[in-house]
Amino acid sequence: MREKQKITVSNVVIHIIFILLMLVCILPLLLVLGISFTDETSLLRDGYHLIPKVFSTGAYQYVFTGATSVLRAYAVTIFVTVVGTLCHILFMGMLAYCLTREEVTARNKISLFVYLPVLFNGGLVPTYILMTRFLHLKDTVWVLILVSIASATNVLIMKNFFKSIPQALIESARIDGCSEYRTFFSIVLPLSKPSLASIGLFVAIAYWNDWMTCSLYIETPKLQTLQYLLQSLMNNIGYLQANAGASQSMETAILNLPSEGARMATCILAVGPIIFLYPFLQKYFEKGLTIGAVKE
Amino acid sequence: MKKRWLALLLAAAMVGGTLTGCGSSKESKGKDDTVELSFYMMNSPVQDQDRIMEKANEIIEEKIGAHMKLVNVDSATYAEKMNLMINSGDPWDLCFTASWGGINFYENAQKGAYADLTELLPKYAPETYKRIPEGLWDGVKIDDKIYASVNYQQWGAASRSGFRLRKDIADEVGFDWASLKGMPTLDALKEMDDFIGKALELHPEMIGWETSAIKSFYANEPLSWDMEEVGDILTPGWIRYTDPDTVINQFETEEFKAYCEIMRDWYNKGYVRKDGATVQDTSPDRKAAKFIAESTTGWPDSVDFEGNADMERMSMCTKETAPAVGVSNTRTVIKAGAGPNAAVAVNAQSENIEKAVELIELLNTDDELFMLITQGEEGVDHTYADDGTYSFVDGKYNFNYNEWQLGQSYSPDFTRALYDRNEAGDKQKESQTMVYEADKTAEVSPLTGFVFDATPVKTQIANCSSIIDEMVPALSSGSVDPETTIPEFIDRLKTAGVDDIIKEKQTQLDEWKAAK
Amino acid sequence: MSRFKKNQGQMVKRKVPFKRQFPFYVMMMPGLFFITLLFYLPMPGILIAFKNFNPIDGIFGSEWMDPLFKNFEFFFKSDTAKTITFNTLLYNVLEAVLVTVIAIALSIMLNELKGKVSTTVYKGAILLPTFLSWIVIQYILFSLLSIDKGIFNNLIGREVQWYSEPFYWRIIMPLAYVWKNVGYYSVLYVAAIAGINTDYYEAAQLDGATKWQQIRHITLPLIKPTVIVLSLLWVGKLFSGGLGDWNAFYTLPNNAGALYGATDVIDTYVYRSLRTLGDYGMTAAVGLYQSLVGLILVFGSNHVIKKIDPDSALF
Repeated sequence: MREKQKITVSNVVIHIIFILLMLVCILPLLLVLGISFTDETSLLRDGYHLIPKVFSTGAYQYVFTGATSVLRAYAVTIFVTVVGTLCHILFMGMLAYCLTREEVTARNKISLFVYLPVLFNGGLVPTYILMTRFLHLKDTVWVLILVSIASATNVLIMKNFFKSIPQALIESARIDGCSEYRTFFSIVLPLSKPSLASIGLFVAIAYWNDWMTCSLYIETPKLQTLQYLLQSLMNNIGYLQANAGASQSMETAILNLPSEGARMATCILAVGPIIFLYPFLQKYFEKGLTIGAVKE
Repeated sequence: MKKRWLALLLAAAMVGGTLTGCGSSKESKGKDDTVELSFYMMNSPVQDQDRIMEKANEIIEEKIGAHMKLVNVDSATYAEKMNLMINSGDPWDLCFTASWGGINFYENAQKGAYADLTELLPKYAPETYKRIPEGLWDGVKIDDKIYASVNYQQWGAASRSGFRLRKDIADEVGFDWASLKGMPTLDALKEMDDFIGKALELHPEMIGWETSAIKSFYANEPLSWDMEEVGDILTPGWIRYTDPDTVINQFETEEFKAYCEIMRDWYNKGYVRKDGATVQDTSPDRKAAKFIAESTTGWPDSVDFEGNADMERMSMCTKETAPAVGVSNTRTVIKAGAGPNAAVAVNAQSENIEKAVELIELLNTDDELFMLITQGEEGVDHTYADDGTYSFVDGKYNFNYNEWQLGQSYSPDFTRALYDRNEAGDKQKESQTMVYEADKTAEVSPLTGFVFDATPVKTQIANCSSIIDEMVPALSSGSVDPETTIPEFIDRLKTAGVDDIIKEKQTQLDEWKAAK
Repeated sequence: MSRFKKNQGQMVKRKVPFKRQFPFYVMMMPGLFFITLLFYLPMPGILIAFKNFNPIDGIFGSEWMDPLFKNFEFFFKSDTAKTITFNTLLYNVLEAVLVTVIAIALSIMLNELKGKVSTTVYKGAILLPTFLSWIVIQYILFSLLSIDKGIFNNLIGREVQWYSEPFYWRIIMPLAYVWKNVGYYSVLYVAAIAGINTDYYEAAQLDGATKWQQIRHITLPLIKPTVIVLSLLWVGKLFSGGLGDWNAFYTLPNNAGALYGATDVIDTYVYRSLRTLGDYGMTAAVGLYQSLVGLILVFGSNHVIKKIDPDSALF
């Protein structure tokens, strides 16, 4: 398969398609970047442009005046994302793997048990009661991790990936005297790296982007996540404007909310780290992919 | 396998047990016997809050032997979070409450979530109780019981609406803005028609009048039309001040029709934004000083008092970029909703209700404490320039102008807010004195003390509110033809059961009047 | 292939001693624990749909509604129930089909490109939108479509009112959805294709099969289980909380009343009608209705799939 790449018509067409797609995906983000570096009065006067008419870093200065809290929020978010993603993948992966094994006779029933919550859920009130009064996790970093630690959808997707692992490999491990645990950790897991990595990436994004949990359960400023800080800059304006009649102070408050530029800057700060990290993660994917490809 | 299911059932039953409302609140004790009182309010994240709260707590501990834990909740989620806490029995002691924005003061009070303060206020918070006009207390009463402490604001309690126009352009065109004083809103709009037209000829890049999807000059401003809402402002059912015993459907009135027609005309003439039905955020237009005229709830106006800084500039602009004049045209009235416009409630399940009321009193009477929390420290967080104007220091403690949620910013001696130490500051004090005086003589709404219980018509309200959300922005920004759309709108409301709501409001109002 | 499957099928029927199963239960334990904890323990909340919920009495202590289904009334009585149910179905089906088809096409094309650098760059680029939250996408759309400051109107030199014409949004909404999600699904399918044993392709090449034949007879059949699982999951989410993404429908059109006919789905409608009332009972009632419809759809399609291809069924 490793023959030298020939230049064919179909290849050229594919390249063209992807280059166009790339533009469609990247340009809007560059637009956000452009707006975040545009001077505020120029935004009001000239409208939105990809390349700033009047360049300014004011938006970033605004967001970083509270530098200490932004840095701390980065730390909390990174901790939650890393720990949460690892636990999520490990626990859900083990569950999904077992559900593919013929030996587990109740696997269909358990699958159903796993799946049902996708359809039915008790709503916010009982979940809130559970977290605060039953588990006493309000205002701790654990609640940020716990809330998204399980996902029925991911179990079912991973189950499917594990299915494609040749039974013969697992059988031979068993004959060699491997325990089921070792089989999973030293044979199944390494083989499924690419699929686990792709699921893991999305679990990580979900953790990274989750601000609602923080907003509902976290009360200490020290534990606020990055997305919470940024979303609170972005979301409040609509609510405050709709209710501005309540106090004349609100008009001043709205006036002092970040400008459009600052809001765009917060977008960039929020997605930036993931985008910078992605090439490194992707290298790991590629490695996983080649390992996956040579398996027999 | 059976055992697993059994264990599961047991676990479920266990949680079930705790889910049933025992509602006990666990109070975390501070060191020694100081009680910790939590106070929830909506606020963006605040820098340096620990430093200020430490100082504040020294004062609070010394005065009433308690600690305050101030919890800021993002304003976009505040209503949801507070309702969740209330509905799940999560412990809290004090919170900001209001009857707008989904915070649901009346609903929660009716449910029994807030402590009855009728006896406690005069006892533990006598100064707070005394200072506030009686009409405001009636606003936070349900069945003659007070459920919250009103935050009487430095802006006063009485409402009076009017218009703000660009002074420079009015002079240029030669428009006699003072003639709008006291004029019925419809006539005033017609009067301004000509002015806006001429102004736009001279300044085509400007916008004549503000329209947006989130605020309708009719549906959100009953006072301007000499009416008042019964219950929530956006549900159907208002009264006229001229006939306060009859509940009417505000969308079935001549005024609404006439207003929509004017807006349609203005839309066709290009006086208003073409996308007024959908635009959410008008602050960019305001900051760019684009509006020629706008509505305002601020007063005293430029006729009664010269030098009210808020009337001399258009909203979100400075006096230099957009000089303005204000003129009010409605009556002065303390609306039934003025009380729960901004108030502090105590949790009925709190173990320290009395202490909480003491804290309310302390926040409302200890000016040093109130100023510390709401404005930070002088010289560190805010400074005065050589000419006496104050400003906040970038990156330091900043309460985001949310002092009105914490307690009363009203103070006849002007010790509970920042004022410029110069002539401008003096002018502001003078204008606020006028407001306080007016509060004492203002009309009290005929609805004050009446609380509408929406439960019997919840279904109808839910269906009507989505229709109102859909149709009102289009109608009140002129983007659709009222000739055909208003009948369609009213038809849809009728199908959704609007008449049931009006009837229910009327019945409850009649019963309440009879009982009085 | 098919003979192997039959053997497996027979194996299932054999009784497996519990001792042999035990290690698997140990491994499943944490996962099942968290699923029970997070999803099953709050389930009594469903009862709120039938209750006049009151915090002091709690979920179990609150009074039952009288009549029992009163909380359901508002949704079924509304004059737009039909439109929004139609929209919910339309958008979900449209988006599911578009995303699946495009993602499979892209992943096959990516697989064809052997150049390492280019595939890495392409994959990274199409994945970018997945990182953005809907509120950011709303800002992006607004800067493109805003009537006076938007880039599109500047480019075409006319003042098109994007936010007032429902027709545009019938296209914009699915497009935005595809834009955000197609990268995610492409990566999943690339992983699925990577899992295919290369022997198959080598054997096919020896037999002189064309690229197109290889795709049709090897790639597509072998990623079929993944496609089916993802689609089934989609059907399930169809009615339960609109993919957890319903706020796309709320935020993207800037909450514009004029567009509701084209943009409203069940969740946004419910959110809007109950915003002022804040009634947990009515919210729960609509949620339960959605769950039941979803349940019927999922079990129906699962049943059909079980008949055609038992191995791909969810359960």
